[in-house]
Amino acid sequence: MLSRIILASTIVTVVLVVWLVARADGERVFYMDLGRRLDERDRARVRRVQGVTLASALVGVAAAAFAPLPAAVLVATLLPFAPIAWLLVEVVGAVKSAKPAEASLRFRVPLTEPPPAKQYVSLPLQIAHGALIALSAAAFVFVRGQLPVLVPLHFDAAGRPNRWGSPDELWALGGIMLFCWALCWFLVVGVARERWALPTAHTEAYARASRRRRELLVRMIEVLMLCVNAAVAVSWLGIAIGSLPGWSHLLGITVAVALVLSAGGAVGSLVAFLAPLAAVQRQLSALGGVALGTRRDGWRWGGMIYYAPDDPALFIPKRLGIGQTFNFARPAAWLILVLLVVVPIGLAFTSMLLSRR
Amino acid sequence: MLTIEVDFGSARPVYRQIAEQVRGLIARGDLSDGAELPSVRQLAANVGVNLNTVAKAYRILADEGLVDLRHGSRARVLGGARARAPEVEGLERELGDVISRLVLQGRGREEVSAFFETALERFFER
Repeated sequence: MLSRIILASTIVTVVLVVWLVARADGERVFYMDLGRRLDERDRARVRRVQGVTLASALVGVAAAAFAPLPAAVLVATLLPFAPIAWLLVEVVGAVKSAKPAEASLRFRVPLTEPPPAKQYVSLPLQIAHGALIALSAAAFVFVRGQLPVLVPLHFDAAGRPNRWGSPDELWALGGIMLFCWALCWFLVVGVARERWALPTAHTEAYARASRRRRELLVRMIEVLMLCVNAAVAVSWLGIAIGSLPGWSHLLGITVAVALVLSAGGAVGSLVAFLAPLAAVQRQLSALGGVALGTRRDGWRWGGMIYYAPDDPALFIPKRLGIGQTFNFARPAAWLILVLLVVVPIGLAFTSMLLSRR
Repeated sequence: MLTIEVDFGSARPVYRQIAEQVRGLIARGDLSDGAELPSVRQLAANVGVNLNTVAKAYRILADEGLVDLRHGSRARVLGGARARAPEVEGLERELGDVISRLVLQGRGREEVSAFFETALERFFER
């Protein structure tokens, strides 16, 4: 029963995330400012995404409830890709029809150093994050001596262990927590180091809105990463304690709680931050444009990619949507992208190699 | 917030735009003696230009005695009092060029004079 609930909640989480993004509101569709009034085609795009999302939810929940478990696992693994892929197709379609206002070639820049990254972060959230990692590691050290020679290390989509190995391999989860915290700080620094270009009129109001946008982005990243790490901590300690004699019933609950925490983090951060971020983006657009100071000819593929060799900036605010993109003319952008892919794969690969010893 | 304006659509090179505006801020007293300018890297990142462009602007200001450039530390304003006396002939030539342009636009002596009056008022009002 628990495994079927876990399968259903996996699908429902993805569906909820896509449903939250699939919106047409005023001049924004999928939370993107297309620089023109929305028309019937845009609303049709949203309806199509909602239709596919709803159908995926119904089929997924029905499969999780009634299909034989192997089939339900297959559905839970593959079905979430359907609404995501459909959303991406519709987003690309909408971007192609965008008519964003050209960024002004005239702008102001402050002669004072911009606020450093630490001014955007929430101290209580960072303390909680650090304490979560430290306490998880301390708790694992405490139970490590009592663990059996073999502990479950991998679970199938139904939450049943399908690979066993040395308890020391569980330190990889501590590594993942540190990586997530480092990633959180990297993203925060990226937001803080964005270009401070201001319009020639309403300069102070724009600066305030720009700071508010950065604060909201940072808070969203902090909340999301803390929830992800809380899920990893629950998995780490749940697996360890669930491996002790008489505590095996904890394993299934651990998977469920970890799933709820990560899903809650993803959905919760979107619910809490998307609307205020959209509002502040609207304010910035009205005051002088979000991507002020960027090169007009740097925006490629309808404004989805920024490639400007003569622009030294690495972190660029998205021209249409919420968040940031890279200046792909900077080698550092490619290096960071590779690192973000290589480090998680490296952690997984190391864990696999250790388990074969 | 103290800011400078850059215009990528202007024919004036960006380094001159930066130097002129920082000079203006010093002249008006907005940047006082000892005030630190942003690092070359930071200003270049905000303006969106090569480091050399900002370094060139700072060098011009340093050559005029307005800014102190020391290796490893941020550029510091020295203050108008220490500025080297500008070449009067050069300034007259630049002013003459401005007057020529105004006359070529069809403005008479009084209109040119009014233009300078307005510019002076704006400068000291800011």
